[in-house]
Amino acid sequence: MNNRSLSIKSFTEYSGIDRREKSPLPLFSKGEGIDEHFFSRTKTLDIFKNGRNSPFRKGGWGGVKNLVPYCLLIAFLILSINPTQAQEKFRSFNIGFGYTLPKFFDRSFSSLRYQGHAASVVGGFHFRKDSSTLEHIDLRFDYGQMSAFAFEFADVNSFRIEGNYSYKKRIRDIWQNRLQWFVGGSINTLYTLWDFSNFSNNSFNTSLYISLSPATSLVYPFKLWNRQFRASYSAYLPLLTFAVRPSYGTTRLPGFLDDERDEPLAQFFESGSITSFNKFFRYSNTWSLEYFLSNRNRLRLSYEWNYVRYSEPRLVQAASHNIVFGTMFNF
Amino acid sequence: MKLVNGFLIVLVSLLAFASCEEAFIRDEYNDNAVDVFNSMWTTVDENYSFFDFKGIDWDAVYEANRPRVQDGMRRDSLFNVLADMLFVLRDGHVNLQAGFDLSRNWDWYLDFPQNFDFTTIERNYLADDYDITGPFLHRAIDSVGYIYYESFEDDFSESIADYLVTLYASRVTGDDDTLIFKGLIIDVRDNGGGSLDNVNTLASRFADERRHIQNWQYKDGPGHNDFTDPVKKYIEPGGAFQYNGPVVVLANRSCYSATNFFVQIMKNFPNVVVMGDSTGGGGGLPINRELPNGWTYRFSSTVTTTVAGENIEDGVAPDVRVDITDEDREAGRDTILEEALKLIGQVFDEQVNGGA
Repeated sequence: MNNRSLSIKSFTEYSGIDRREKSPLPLFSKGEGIDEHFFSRTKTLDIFKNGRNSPFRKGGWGGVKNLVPYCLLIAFLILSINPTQAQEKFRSFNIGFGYTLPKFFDRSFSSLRYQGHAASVVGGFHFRKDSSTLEHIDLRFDYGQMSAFAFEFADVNSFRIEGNYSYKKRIRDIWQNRLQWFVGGSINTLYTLWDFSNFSNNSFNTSLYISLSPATSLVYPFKLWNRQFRASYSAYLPLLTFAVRPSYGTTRLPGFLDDERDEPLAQFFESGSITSFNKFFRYSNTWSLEYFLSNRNRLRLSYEWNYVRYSEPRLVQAASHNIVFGTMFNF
Repeated sequence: MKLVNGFLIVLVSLLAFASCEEAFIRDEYNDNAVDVFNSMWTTVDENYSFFDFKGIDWDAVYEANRPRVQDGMRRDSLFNVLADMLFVLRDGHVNLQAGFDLSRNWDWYLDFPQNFDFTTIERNYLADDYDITGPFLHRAIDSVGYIYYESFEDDFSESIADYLVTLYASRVTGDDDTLIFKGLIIDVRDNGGGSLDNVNTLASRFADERRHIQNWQYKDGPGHNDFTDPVKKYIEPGGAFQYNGPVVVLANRSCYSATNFFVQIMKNFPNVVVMGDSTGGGGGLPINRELPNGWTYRFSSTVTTTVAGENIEDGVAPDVRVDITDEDREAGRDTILEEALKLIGQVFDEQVNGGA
């Protein structure tokens, strides 16, 4: 019976008036998606202009044309690239700061999708004992504020902690031995807390997912203008997950409904269930670019896209785009 | 050229990933009137906790109200339809909040005598000589401690609770061998509820021992009868001192929600008598939800029963039923308070005489 509110007055005094009234302009109104605006301003090539299947007509692949100058620039950069053997053995500590664009839908307490902005702090260790292994320990913390898609007000404080450990072996080199392909496994933990500031007894909504996943990385060391870089792509896809979510009718975890119990570990494990693709799906991929400084430390720019979906006890989906800039110190 | 193609593929893949969750994560409903109606009906259907206890046919409510909703209808008209639908639940914990109105069903006290007038208490009982300790107004009346608590939303500290019970527990003789207080009256009439933490803090000062006081059940599925097994709730003695003298709790129909819980908990203690009218009820924890058009609403999501299995959603009956009479009202007397003073006096006399 702790920390709960029961009142008739609390609701009548609640100041959250119709937020749509306050914010008549939704972030993205219907038919006004970013892509549509973007594409509608493009000029089409005559040869494709009237073709039904033209990739360049509005609503088709129209955006591709707009990317042509960027593609040319990238092509120029690529032609300047010289594949190289980068530093093959290192131990480094990395720390970075970045921005996250989080989104979620949780049927447990709303039929609306939420999105917002968050700040990220990332830290971890990357080990490479020799050229044949990759070992990463990464921790990421996000704090942000989110609102229902149609409203402007920040109704939800969002906390997100993610921890990953991965170990991968180099299985082969591809693309004329320029691209190193690593395969292995990872343990991935994700904790989210969404605090609905306008709600009372159901304001805190927590989730925890601990997963075992196959993981892969592609590493591409190269030189550009005589400077050493390393591009890499990493992804994991959980196969087996221990998922902890609040029980159906309350934001309390199922194992903790009884205040009298004092067995937190047992209660924690009772609160979750082991699940797989049938109910739980998560996918994460990360692109990163590392630039080697003269002292062999590195600057790192990374982008991660992460999606999670769990259907018990009620559907929850979350995704985030995360860009982080940081440094990696060898030790 | 292969290199260029490869990089283009990667680039396009990156862009595709950058927005592909848009295809998966969507609002469940649009913000048109029909979707708003369906959103509320479905959410309440799957989560409200008292359909069967109150004998409510929620499907019939849908059939009766759905034809009244059309896309493009006025917002106030839609609000009225939704409010009518929620009114059927007969629950003070059910409200629909829009910027221009708040729906409610307050029949749980409007259909009954008020049995309380603060002006009478303030002018004829508290008068000029009373103390204000935190949210509590209190003084001694005829050697009986009287504490008025307006709302469980008003927080107070553990030390304030200790101070109050210790103050009026002074059933000891002074230098002149006179007894100071005969007992204690806690007046929670018109207290509409608030925090259960405050309920616990106050009630624990009267707990003679650890006691099983209630059972709670939580919804664990979308069916109207999908509930967890009952979870036992206990109260334990709290603070430095527990009051074990005669206590009368004054209640009326405007005691709702957390106050309903407080009165029910106090009834478990052997030295406590509840006097006045039944409480208004409110035995479920309310949870908040929102509609696709931005309106918010709340409804009960749990069930609370006594140790004997009685559902307290419709209120807690007093041990001694007393109404304020018309004659007393006109004379500026509070019949319920007078009866409480009389009862404590009788108990004291019996104790003194019995002891003698």
